[in-house]
Amino acid sequence: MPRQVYQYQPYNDTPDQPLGILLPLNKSAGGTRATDAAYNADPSSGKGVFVSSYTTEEQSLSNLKNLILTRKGERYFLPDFGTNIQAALFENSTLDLELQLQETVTADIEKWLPYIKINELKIVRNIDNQQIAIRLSFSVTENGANQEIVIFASPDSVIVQDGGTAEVELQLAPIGGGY
Amino acid sequence: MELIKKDVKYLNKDFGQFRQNLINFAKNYFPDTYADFNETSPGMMFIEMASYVGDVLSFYSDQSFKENLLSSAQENSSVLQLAQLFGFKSKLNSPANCMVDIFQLIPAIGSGANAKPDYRYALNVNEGARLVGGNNTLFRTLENVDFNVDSSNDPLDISVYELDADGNVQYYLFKKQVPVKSGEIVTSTYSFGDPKAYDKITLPDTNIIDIVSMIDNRGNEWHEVDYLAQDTIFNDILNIKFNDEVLAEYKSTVPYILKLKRTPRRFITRLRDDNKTELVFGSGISSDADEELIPNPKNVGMGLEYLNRTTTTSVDPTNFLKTRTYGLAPDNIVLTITYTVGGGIKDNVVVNSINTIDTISYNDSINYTGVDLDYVKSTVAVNNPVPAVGGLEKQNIESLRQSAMASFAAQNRAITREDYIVRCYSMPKKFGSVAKAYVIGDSQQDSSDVSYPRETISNPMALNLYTLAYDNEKRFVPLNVALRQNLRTYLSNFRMLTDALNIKSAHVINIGINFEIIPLPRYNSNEVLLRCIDLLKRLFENDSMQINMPLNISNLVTEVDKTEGVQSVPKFEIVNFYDLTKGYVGNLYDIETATKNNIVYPSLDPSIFEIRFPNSDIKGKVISN
Repeated sequence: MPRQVYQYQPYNDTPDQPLGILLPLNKSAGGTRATDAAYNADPSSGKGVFVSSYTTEEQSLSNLKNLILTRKGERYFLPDFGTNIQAALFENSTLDLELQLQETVTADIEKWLPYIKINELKIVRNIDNQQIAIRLSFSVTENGANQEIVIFASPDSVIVQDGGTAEVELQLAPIGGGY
Repeated sequence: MELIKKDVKYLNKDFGQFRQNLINFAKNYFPDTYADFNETSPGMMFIEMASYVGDVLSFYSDQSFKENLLSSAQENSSVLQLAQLFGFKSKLNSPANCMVDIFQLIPAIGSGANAKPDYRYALNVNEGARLVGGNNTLFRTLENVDFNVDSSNDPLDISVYELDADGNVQYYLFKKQVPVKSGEIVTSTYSFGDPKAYDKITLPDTNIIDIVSMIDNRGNEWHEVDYLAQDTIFNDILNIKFNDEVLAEYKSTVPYILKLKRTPRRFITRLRDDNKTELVFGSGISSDADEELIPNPKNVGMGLEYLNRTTTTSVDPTNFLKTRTYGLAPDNIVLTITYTVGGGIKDNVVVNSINTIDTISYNDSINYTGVDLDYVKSTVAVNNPVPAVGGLEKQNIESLRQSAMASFAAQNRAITREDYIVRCYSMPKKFGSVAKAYVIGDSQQDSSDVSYPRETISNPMALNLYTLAYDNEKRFVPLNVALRQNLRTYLSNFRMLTDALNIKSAHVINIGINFEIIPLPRYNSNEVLLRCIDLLKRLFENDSMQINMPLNISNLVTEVDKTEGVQSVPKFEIVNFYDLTKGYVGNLYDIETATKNNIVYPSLDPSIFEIRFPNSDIKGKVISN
């Protein structure tokens, strides 16, 4: 049986109605620690811990982050949910590891976020430091704008950053060693 | 602000149902606030977290309900506590039991035909002798062995052991049987300071079988009871003239008199789920015996605040003063606790393996004037002619559950007629043995009936317990006074308050059998006849007979007919013997009238058929065809 996908307002028919919750939580406070003010803020002010999204593009970025930051087996009752990015750090460092990772990440995104169209997925490894950097450019629907996120994976953590492409290029370069 | 009444589903049980219902709830009540139900969305993460919590809570509410029912509890500790709540005392390992032959040599007195055992040398071995069996398993004797006593319940086997050069008997060998139980005796002491209500101690061993004794440093004995409100225990006293002049006449068959004793010094045992045994004491601090407290309008509820007799406040009848009915708490004493450890399957030792005596003691209070017992004491020996059985490992959960349910159903009370019968047979042997027991409802003559004979009406509040005992020839006799009294005391502990029990003697009808057989050709007639007589002796053994049991002649004929060498049984009749001068009981019974459809029915008053002298009362004849 095909997986039922809940997808509301892919084309932003009613942009004044919230869709979901954005990541990081407390985004309005800069995405760092939540303050008391954030918890006590009026939800309609847009300054609370749970900040609502109003467009599919905006929401799908948070959803993508959530998928990437979840390890397979981590989610209760959804063992296949998530990606193998962090697990790849501990795999044998063979030449085809990048290819394998590219295939699995693409497959995971296609499965859990079928409305996201991957335009480019580039992987760079720093073998000595056991680090992997992934630059993922995608768009939501054929007509959506191109967006980019960069994933920095090390044995201690996985960090996902979104922002301007130029900034991402700068952050990825030192890790990739000549990217 | 008025809250909108929301449709909350209460039938969710698991993660999937909670998740789906929360999604539906959000769609129904927050359509303008949240709309992304993709698995990847952070909002769904929170919905699933809530579902997870709901699932876990649902599991625990189910689990705690399930663990409260004995039939469905799975946790060892739950089953254990529920079993104890039901009044069932769970045990760890069970000990092995066995009957052991115990021997001693007795010097002969007299010579030639006048030689007989010198009973002054007959020993009285105290219970608790330590015996060693195979695998170094320790056993202990459970009853005293008195080589002076010879009865059908406690038979003494005498044989010649040694002859001197002139052929005179020098020593006789006395043999008796005594029950033994496996387990090693362990002694621990515990000091108590100021009294504490419901003080408890935990014994360090994890394989405790039972508590043998508990004595404090002031010499008081503490008794184990089933529950702390139980203030009476069984106490046995030697049936000697000093204790009871009348009953001492029957000491050969009833060596002990059973008494109920009230005791304030008592404790209960509880098995913990770590397999250690906990002893719990009462809450009283007075040294006065509890039985001095008699409920009356002035003292009932004295310990209850604001209670007066017009209120409906509940009053516990076992603790009406709220003072000390649950027994005493240990108060600045040192308790010496003796208990047994061991048990298990390895204790089921094989035959002829219990033959070493570790320690043994004798009752020296008996007057052995002028004889030296040292030698005969050195001749005491033991052996088990049968293997020890009953040794079991700790009960598993399922077995514990089933035992607790059975115990709860029985309630340790005699309710049905079978309960009374089993209780009669289970009275410890030292208080005498009931050979046959039979219970029927009481009935009495209807005084309003003027005709003769009067109609009888049943008395639902009373039961008639018909009993018989064996004499030393294993023949039926009525219970003697001492045995009857012990039975009454013993049953009183299991009897329901409203049950009246009349202990009566069943009538004994002595019978004989006259039969004829036609043997098959080429069979020795005498051998066939002897086989038939042996068969009938076995069928009519007193152990096989029961009060009010009819005799089915057709079945008996069939049994004889099946004997090897028998062609047919042309005659089979049952006759009544009642001549007192010939040793019969003297009850005349019209067998012919009592026989319907080839079945001999017993009398209306409960009776039992007995072939008193099987060697002469079963007469067979061979006839040729």
